[in-house]
Amino acid sequence: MRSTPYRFLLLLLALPLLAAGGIAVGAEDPAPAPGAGSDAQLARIEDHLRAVEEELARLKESKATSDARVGEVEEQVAGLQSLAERVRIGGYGSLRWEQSSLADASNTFTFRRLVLTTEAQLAEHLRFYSELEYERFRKLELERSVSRQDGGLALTQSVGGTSDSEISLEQAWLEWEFDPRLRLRAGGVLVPLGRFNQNHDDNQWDLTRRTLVDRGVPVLPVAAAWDELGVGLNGTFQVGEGDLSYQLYVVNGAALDGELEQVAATRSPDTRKLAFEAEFSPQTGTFSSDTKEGKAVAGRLAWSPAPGHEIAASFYTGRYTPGYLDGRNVLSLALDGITRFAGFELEGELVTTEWGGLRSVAKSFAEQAVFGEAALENSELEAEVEFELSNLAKRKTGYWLELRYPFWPSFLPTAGFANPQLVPVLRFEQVWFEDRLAELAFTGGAVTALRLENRLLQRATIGLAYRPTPLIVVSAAYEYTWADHGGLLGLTNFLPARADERDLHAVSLGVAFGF
Amino acid sequence: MLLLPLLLAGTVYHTDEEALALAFPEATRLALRTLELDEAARARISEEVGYPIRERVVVLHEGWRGQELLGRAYILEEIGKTLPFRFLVAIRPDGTVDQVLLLTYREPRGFEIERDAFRGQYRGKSLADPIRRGADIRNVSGATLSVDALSRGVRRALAIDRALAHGAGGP
Repeated sequence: MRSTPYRFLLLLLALPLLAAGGIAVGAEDPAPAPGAGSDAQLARIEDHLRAVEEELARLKESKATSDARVGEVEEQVAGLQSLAERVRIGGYGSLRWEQSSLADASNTFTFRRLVLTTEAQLAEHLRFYSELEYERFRKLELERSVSRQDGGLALTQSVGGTSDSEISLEQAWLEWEFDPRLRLRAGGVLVPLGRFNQNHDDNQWDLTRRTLVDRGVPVLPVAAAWDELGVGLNGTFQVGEGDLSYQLYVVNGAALDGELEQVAATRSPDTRKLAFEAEFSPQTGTFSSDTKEGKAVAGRLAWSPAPGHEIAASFYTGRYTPGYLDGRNVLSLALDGITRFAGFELEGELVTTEWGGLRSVAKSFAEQAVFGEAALENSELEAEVEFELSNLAKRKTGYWLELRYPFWPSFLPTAGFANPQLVPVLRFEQVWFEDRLAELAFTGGAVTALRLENRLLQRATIGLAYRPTPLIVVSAAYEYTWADHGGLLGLTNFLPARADERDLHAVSLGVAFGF
Repeated sequence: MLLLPLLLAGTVYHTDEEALALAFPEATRLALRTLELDEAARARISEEVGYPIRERVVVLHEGWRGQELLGRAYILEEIGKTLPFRFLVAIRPDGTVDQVLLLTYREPRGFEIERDAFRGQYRGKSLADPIRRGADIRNVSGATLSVDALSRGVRRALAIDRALAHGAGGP
């Protein structure tokens, strides 16, 4: 049925035609035969009307197409809005300039890390979260080619990239919230041991260097940010004015794993050297097929009597030896907390980790690897293969304490920021090594030398941070690191210390950001 | 698409009606007035809060017991880290905060600002107070942006209330 506006439009179009037809007929034939002129005129009008109707139909069809397209676009826009609301991209990172007194450390700028986060609300109680880290990363290149060469085939491959770079998946999990008191989380989850690993975002901290306990030694079985693949529960109960929260996960768990280092060296006057060094140390468990049967368990119970105050106990235990070595467990226990008083914030963490059966693991490793070192040398080249067990101790125990005093002096301009803050920071850290594996030599499957040592590593840091907004921090820090006896060599995973260097002074200027 | 509001609802602590009932438990009557802010009022409020406000219209809730005005309340929104949350600020006739209630919260972190111990910090505050993290409001680790946002919102409610008390706003 034709709508009223269209009828009206038709009438409007027809009226001029009728008028024009009448005038024209009148001019050509002032006395037309009755009926003949009217028929022709009527035929012309009908033709015009038909043409108008066809044009109108075409226009209507075009309008319907346009309406449909507009609807599609509106739907797409709504979909994008929905996506933007449900999926949030964020991130954090830090960079710093540092100078240390170590002979082999140059002053340098370091783009410490850039982490991109994605959070998606998939359904009412279902969300996904991931963190992808680019650590000191700028470039990775792979080139490969196959060609005919010297009467045969040649496969050429070269890998190039920036030094000390790493790309890692720091978290990737799916969480189903049945209730705030009961959530099921599965995927690559942060191990809830201590408080730093859970809150490792650079811009949450006022000093850009991470703690010895969590990163620099570490006392944690694996350096933060430490995630493991598994499944578990977490939740929060309101208890009086406070909160009681828990986390409990079953994961593949940390295990001894190897990293292969290749060395190509020219020596004078010695021969050239080609070496393969296989270093075995505790690493994040696999995200593929586990190398051992036993799974690890980790949990944390935290009580927050009031917002801003928290005390927590946590643990991690599980087999750390791969299937080809004797089955041994690692056990970590931690206490941590934060409190506030008189404008000060005091935060700290104590962790102890016991690597079970260190001597028997060393013996088992020697039996499996057979030869710690094997070398073949001729007049031109020495080829060497070396197997090493590292970063293990019967027990490592450490803590850090951080005291902060956020304030803003009223005489300073705020530079347009709503609530900028200055934060003086003091951090003190100690780590004890009990029976640290300092040397392991073996040949023919038998241990020929095993040296264990007790050591103490300490660091004091004083810094000043400026936070123009909560997500941005600019900081300057001075730190002094020293060992009780012997050198710093081998005690940390980041200091390029020589054997005779027992302490170091360092300064750093850094910025950390989040978005 | 139909599920979107449900997905984004986050935690709903109170409906508007529940929150108003909690804000004025002794009220025999609740009144609602929608008022338009003129440019002068908006400028005054913006100056009080330290940034240009968006509101051109405010909804004023009043709690009455007989002929006695118990207080006024404003239901506002602020953005935590990336998502808005909804809260109510109840203000006594003398222009001080009686209570702050969180109605909805959607951020995965920072729910601690809903706790009584945190919201209680705002009780008795007026525009003479800084109402600022680190000054007279304690921070909550992991919820800094939400702490700032709620503090900002409470100050905005007080500033709107003062402007209305001084005759700004018309129906």
